[in-house]
Amino acid sequence: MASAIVVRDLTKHYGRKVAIQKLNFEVQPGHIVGFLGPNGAGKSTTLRILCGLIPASSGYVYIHGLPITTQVKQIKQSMGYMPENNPLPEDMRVEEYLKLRARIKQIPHRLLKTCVWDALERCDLHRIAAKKMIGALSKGFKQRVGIAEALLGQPKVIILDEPTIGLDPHQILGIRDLLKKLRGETTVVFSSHILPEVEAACTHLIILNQGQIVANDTSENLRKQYFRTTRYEVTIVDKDGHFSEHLSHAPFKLCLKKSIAQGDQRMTYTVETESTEEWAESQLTRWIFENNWPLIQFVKKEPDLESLFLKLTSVAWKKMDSERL
Amino acid sequence: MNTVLTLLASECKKMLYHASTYFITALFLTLMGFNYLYILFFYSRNTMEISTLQSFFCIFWLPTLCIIPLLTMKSFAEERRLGLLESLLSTPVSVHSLVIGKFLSIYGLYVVLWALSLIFPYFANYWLQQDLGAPLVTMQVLFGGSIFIAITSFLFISLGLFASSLTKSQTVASLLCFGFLFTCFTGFRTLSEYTRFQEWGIYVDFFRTLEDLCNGIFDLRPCLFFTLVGVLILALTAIAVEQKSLR
Repeated sequence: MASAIVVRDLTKHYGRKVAIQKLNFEVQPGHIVGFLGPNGAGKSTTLRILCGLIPASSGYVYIHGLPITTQVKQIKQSMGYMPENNPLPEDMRVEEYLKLRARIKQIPHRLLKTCVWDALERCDLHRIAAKKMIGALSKGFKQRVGIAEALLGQPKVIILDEPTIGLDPHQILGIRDLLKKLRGETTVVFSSHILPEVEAACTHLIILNQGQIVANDTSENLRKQYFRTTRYEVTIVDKDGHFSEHLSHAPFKLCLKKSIAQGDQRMTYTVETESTEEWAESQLTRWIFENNWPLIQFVKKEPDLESLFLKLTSVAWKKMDSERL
Repeated sequence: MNTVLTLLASECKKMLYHASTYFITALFLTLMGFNYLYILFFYSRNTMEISTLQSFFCIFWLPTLCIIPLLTMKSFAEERRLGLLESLLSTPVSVHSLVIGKFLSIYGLYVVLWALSLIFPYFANYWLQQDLGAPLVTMQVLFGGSIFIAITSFLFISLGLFASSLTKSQTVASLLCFGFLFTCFTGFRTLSEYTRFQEWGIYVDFFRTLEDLCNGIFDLRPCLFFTLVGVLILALTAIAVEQKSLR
């Protein structure tokens, strides 16, 4: 299948400062891709180039096969964009604003009402908010209006710059559900600082640091790639407290990281294996049963995205620092 | 073309709902009303060669310097500050359509304001014609003055939009616009009177052009000059908007 977005050697300079440098990535149709990175990593610059707002210093961007340098008008017609901070006119009503944007997006007059209503419904704005002034809406509803605007006319690609910024957990959940609904039918690229949020909504992650891509894969693959060990939390009844001593006799390498006494001779041990494969888990449980430790709880501790993000960005920082030196 | 009309309709609607439009209208009419009143008082004590209506048009510089900065300062500066311009430019709208849409809405309002201000000479004519024995409003001066206002407003509003496209601050935009307009008045005047370009400089003298038009002389050269400079400034505005948004 042809990629929805193809980026090749994309570079952007602001004077002498390099904002992004030789970015290469592809986004498949229907995928939801999360752009992650610390402040100043180049996320917004990349997104603004992708939607034709600013030109790149060098490199190529193709949206559904169309080069952005020459076909920017056609690309803008098939794209929805929500800028950072979601600027909206406060003195317009939601429905009125969306109708205006639909007209500007050159949606045929006969489809205008349906399109606006569809966007309102998708973003759950059709019940109360549609007739309200934008200025009177809460931050969450304003974000929804921004997303509804991006959804107008069912664009093939939607780019959202920090859609969940400043929202409370309930509102974030709402936006996440909305993004999930779009999975498979629209290509969505969005940037965020809220890591669990990105992981929950995205099929793919692109992590940027200092204008370069440091990771580009699914969160699962990235974990496998960057975390060579797996942690398990084992709660057992350990009468003699010999579990830690027996670890060295295990048929595979186990490393005790933490032990917490839970009372009533119950202990919770955090152990680490050097393998990330499934068999390590079954071998560990078998070994516990073979040694007759009454198992109360067995939890596989997945490394969270935050650890991954910190690991990747700190690696990149160190690499860049050493290059400078 | 459709996009321009959509943007124009949106801008007009925005103006209609905004309190500042009514404040500017009130300010303009008050200014022009008092000016006309002063002209009538002055004419009642002095003998003048030109009609009261021509004098009324002759003070065009006052509303130009006071009202045009107020009308244009918001157009691009405020939208850029709020980020609305970026959001708008992510749609298939061209910068030229945007500039034309904004220009036409402000131009339309300014022309309507002038048309409304003609109520003063009209009523004065209605009440005083019998006492004076001669009309205060003649069609020749009315048409000449109106053409002059229509042509020069084109240039002045272009300058205002250009000033607004250069900055994010409304205050700076209005001050810049005032500066541009003031330079335009004094510059063209200097050019026509004191420099060695006097021969062709007289064609760019606003007051002379107004006088000619009110006397029924339609010289295409100054009219063409003002219009072309206006178009050029609008093109520069489009470039400024595009370049500033590309950062």
